[in-house]
Amino acid sequence: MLDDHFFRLYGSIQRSKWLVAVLAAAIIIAAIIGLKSISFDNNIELMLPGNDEVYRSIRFLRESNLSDKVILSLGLKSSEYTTKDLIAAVKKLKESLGPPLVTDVISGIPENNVVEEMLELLKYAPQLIDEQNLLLIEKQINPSGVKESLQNNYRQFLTPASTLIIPFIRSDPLGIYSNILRSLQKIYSSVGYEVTVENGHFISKDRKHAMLILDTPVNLTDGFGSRKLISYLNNRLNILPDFISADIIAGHLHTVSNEDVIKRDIRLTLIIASAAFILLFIVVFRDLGAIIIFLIPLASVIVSINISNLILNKLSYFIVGMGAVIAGIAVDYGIHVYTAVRTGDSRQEAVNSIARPLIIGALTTISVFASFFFSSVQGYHQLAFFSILSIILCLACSLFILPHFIIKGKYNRLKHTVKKYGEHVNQRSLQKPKTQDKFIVLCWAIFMIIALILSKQISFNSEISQFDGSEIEIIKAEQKFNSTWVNKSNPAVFVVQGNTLEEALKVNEKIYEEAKTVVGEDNFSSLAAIWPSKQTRKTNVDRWKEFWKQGKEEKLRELISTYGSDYNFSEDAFSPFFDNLYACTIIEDEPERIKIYKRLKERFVIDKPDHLQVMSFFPDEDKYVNAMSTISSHYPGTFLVSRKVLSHVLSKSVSSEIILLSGIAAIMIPLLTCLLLKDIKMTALALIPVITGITAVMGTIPIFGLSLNAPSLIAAMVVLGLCIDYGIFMVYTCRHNLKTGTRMAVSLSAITTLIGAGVLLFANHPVLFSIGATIVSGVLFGYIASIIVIPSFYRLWIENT
Amino acid sequence: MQKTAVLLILFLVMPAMHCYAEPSDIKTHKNIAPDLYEVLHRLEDKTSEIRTLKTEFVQEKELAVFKEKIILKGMIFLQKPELFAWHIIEPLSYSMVIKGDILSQWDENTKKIQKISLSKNPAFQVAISQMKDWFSGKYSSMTENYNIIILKRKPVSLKFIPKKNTIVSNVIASVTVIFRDDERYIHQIYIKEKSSNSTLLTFVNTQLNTPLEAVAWEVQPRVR
Repeated sequence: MLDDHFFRLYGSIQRSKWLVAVLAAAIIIAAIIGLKSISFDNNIELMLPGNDEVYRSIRFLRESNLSDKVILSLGLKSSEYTTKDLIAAVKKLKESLGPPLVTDVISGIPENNVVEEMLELLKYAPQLIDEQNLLLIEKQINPSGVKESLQNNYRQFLTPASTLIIPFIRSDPLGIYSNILRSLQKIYSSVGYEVTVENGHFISKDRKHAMLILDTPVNLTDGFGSRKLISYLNNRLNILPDFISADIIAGHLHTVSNEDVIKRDIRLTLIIASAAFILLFIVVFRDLGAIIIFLIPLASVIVSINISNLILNKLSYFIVGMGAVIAGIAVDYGIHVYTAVRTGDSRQEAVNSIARPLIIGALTTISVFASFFFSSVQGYHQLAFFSILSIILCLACSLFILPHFIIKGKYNRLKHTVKKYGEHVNQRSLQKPKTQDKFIVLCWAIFMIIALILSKQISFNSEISQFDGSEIEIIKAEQKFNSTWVNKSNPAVFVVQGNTLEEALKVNEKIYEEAKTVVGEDNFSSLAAIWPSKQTRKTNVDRWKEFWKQGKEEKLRELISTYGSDYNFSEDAFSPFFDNLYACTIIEDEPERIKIYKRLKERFVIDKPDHLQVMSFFPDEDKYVNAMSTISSHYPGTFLVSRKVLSHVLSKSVSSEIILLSGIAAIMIPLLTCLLLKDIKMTALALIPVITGITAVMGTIPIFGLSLNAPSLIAAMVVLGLCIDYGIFMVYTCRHNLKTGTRMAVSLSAITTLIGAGVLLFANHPVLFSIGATIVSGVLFGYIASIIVIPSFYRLWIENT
Repeated sequence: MQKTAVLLILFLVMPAMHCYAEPSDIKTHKNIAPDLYEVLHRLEDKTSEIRTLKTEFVQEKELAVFKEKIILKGMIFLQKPELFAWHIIEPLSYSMVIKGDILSQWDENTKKIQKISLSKNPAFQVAISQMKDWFSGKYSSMTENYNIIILKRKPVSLKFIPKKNTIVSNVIASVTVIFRDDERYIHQIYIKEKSSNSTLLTFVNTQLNTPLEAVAWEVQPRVR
């Protein structure tokens, strides 16, 4: 019944093959034109497991612009030059940088008014000092407390470093603002950079490096913009004198470098692959018509991209990248059809004899990709849809269009090769089992044991950084930067959201109070430590006024006057304190005039178009992250971003995804093969290349010093699809004694795949190399198993019984 | 706490006072007037010969917070490269000793020895290092943060005016240094603050390159 439909369709196309060819050509041309209008999505979220925590963290890191900054680290090359020369160079460079690529340059903090700024901030003490601190102050306003404070002040005036602190002591004789200062100190020291400011410029501790922080509108993922930006910066850096070295530290550099590495890899692999394919044509095909075999998968992929885009609306770059791999699988169908037609006597019979195994092979491959629909990763759904569509199109073209355009010449070199090959090898399946077969099976068993032992060393790596193939110079520059400037690892971030700053600050305060108990005051860097909400500040002011106006001000004045004379203090020694006692008691939203506050706000607050986010920082350690997670669960709208947790969750999600997909594939492939072959023994034999290929991958990856990652696991799925095809073809050939050059076709399929994937072993980019290593090891051993082990097993097991 | 916090914040926010002197800076710097270059070069050459210093000092502080001028008397010891001691004997017994990274201080009120790691308290490191620079004659490093004027050539008297945008410019108006006749060491340092406070430090009975006793590096009550 199915055969009838197949032949009817085959015959119809044969009768109007030129019309079909023109139609196919028109579709392909339209698809090529259509490629230009497709918008590709580079959003990494598409490739992440469906986990809200992961989405939110990635989105936060991306949108917070923390990674979009560009840092220039300038260094003195010679000890003959000083920090002054370095600063002069920084100034010159800063002046030369500007829009549109650089929108702001921060080279330091102006220092000239810093003491005044700090004193100005202390005037806000009435708004910042809470009830608890007020009680401590109360305890000091007595003869012994005041005497002790004055004694302490006197001693501090005698120390060598007294000059700097005199204004502060005069403004705070009892040291009641020390909590404000301590909070400020804690916030500054939690930055994570070992930086000093000299003449208003960021200078390293060794005083041989300066830093500039650049704002740019260029997005990290914008390859073209990144290239323009880096070129612009390199051009600007040329103005630096010879004794200054410069390093650019930016994610954009990685974007450009990865692009360059991939381009170089593609150039190299294309040259090697082209040379290998030309050699294959010269040695095996010797027919220009064979080019169609390679055009069919290419055209199928292009058409599939268009259809996928129409249905799915947007396609990920990653999916398109997988197009080459899909084409590599799909090319096998054409090779089988081509070999069968060229070596068979009748075109129709040849196609008929291979159609069934070809369809079974394609269906099992489709089932592998279909398992991706069970994944929570949206990108995998796209990949499944796109891959299945490409395979179906390619299979249809290979079965119904390709055979009509294969020219069967008088002297058929391919047929000759197959015949010669068959005389020695092909007919062996018909012979009786030999000792050689037992030896082959034994060798296979030994190989499997060794591979299984080696596979114990395999590990899974879900670090995003492993996909970074940036050039070594960039990595070295970053290491140098870290050793010069960085003294702490990236902290975890606790994020509070609100429609207004006041709303966010209110929650932020509550979080801070709880965090102090579980993380520790010293470990939790929060804006709340310095600047509470307006509501709290108002309460503080009211309490403050009430406190001092109850006669405490007079009492303190009296005590200072009485005991101050013992230390020779003048009457107005501490007048700044009393003068400013009610200085800042009018509540304003934000103290805009205080630059210290502005700098703190820049660090802690992110202004979004529709809301505000207030960040707090704490060490990215499991115990703290767990404690803060519990707190976060009590406050809707808050969340935390921990790079460690993100990595852990990602790793866990990807691992469970892969286990799920592998499980589905492990069930689907034997089940489908069994259903289609209708024979358990044959199914078991057909699975030999699959088991061999996957075990080989597991054993080989540790030898290459690699670990399993998401791309290599997808490549392993491809290996599954290919190896099951080889297995099905070989058991079919063994059982039906086909003379359609199956061995040759399987060998050609494997060779073309090995060439395509093998060239990736010359790639510098880790992802490409990892895909290459997986496919080469899997397909190579799967192929050997299909061509050598299956016939031996067949003779020993099936023919004997 | 307050003192530490203030110094640390000042350091973290904007310290321009640097703690690492550049060797032979002025010998190569082209932006210094030739006569000043010659004087600084000469002074640095002479002070570079100092290995140890033992001197008494009198510090007169005229601060707005005090009714009368405060006069401190004490001893300073310096042994290159890393020992420094500042002992006040009058009017209050106070000792501060720096051995490498550790600063120890003691005073007669608390009668407790407090130890601070300089590397963990960069503010102290900055303040102390600059003081050491003044006392050990590293004027070269001062040229980056101060404009220097020659007030007098015999004996040499230099006026250091903090440059704009430096931390020192926040509080100090000028520092005048008067050298001894033999130019081997400082005779007086006069610090004029912006707030009209001033400090005059006079060195008395200065002994250069004499062996120093171990007791110099101990924080303990001194005899008045």
